[in-house]
Amino acid sequence: MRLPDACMLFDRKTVIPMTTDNEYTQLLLSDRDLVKPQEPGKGQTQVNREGREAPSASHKEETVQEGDNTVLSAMESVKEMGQVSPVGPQKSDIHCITIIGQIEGHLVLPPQNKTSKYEHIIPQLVAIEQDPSIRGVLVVLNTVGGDVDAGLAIAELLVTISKPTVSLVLGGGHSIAIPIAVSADYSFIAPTATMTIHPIRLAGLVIGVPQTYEYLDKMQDRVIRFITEHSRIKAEEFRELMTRTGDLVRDVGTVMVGAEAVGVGLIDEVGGLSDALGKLRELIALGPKPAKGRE
Amino acid sequence: MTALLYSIYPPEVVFADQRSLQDPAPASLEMSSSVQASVRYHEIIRGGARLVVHKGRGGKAKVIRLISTDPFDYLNPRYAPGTEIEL
Repeated sequence: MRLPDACMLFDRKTVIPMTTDNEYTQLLLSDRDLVKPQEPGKGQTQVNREGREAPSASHKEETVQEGDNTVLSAMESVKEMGQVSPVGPQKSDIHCITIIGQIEGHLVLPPQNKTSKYEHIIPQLVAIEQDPSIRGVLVVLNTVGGDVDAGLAIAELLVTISKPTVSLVLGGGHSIAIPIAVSADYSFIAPTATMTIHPIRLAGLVIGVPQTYEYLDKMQDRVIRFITEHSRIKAEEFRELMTRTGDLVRDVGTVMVGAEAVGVGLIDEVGGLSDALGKLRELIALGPKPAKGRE
Repeated sequence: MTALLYSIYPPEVVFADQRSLQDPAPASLEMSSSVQASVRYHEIIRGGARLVVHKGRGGKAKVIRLISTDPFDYLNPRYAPGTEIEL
């Protein structure tokens, strides 16, 4: 079998996925393993696990080309994509979920909306949960709200993921972004970021169902219950902020800036990127989380 | 099909595209929706990262947006928005 000859250059772990005819793994290889940056002091050669000296980068390509087809196609895709830069071959142990625009769920929104899609975020969270090299999740929120079901689904997954999670509200974290922000183990808000609490029934919109006041109230209760279960705010306080007048032109509700969101007990702390990453490292150092569920 | 939106954007902004078909919208809204309608984006997977691309002529495409949870992917110039790639 020709494959092992060509693959001696790489770590054994990376040999196995190469045998699959999968674009993902081929390119992953080309990206992260083929162009490993030279470690300082190691010079032009790298020593593989067996202690054998692997050929230098230029030699590597030749060996690959006379060898296996799978490796060859990986090299072709490198050529197609242009020059491979040494920037970015490493993998972060903290993964980041950025939520921007409208959170899109059941309905594809018209193209003038920038959306964060359910079908992107949910599998990302499932993959993060399963990848042993990922140790923590940072959720960066800058969103105007969106689909109630999709927002709550993301929030529920964040609550039940076994890895430490920290959320950071930047710019705006409005409406359905609130349950997502509070679903993390620890939440931050930037000093200038805003969060808007308003009723679902006034600015919200239901398409396709003849909604009643009771229906919207029930949907709203669902959101409030989640928020109060995962933050320090009490349901009565939240309802009071939701129906306050004077803040919003078109609606009742409250806009909170930075420290105000911490003051009402919605968010844990005012902070920025280094605070959020520092907290996440701290949570990672504490070890595995106790299994979390509904109390 | 049901969708319940809990958003600070009012429905007339979120659904401006559909509404402009029925009743005349302000000129600015109409222009933005007609520009958007002519642009078609596609999602492809390259190197383990999901890319939103705008397909051009001759099997080429321009990267519009990268979707990945690994922040280091965003340092990779191959995925940088504006980069031309072969499909």
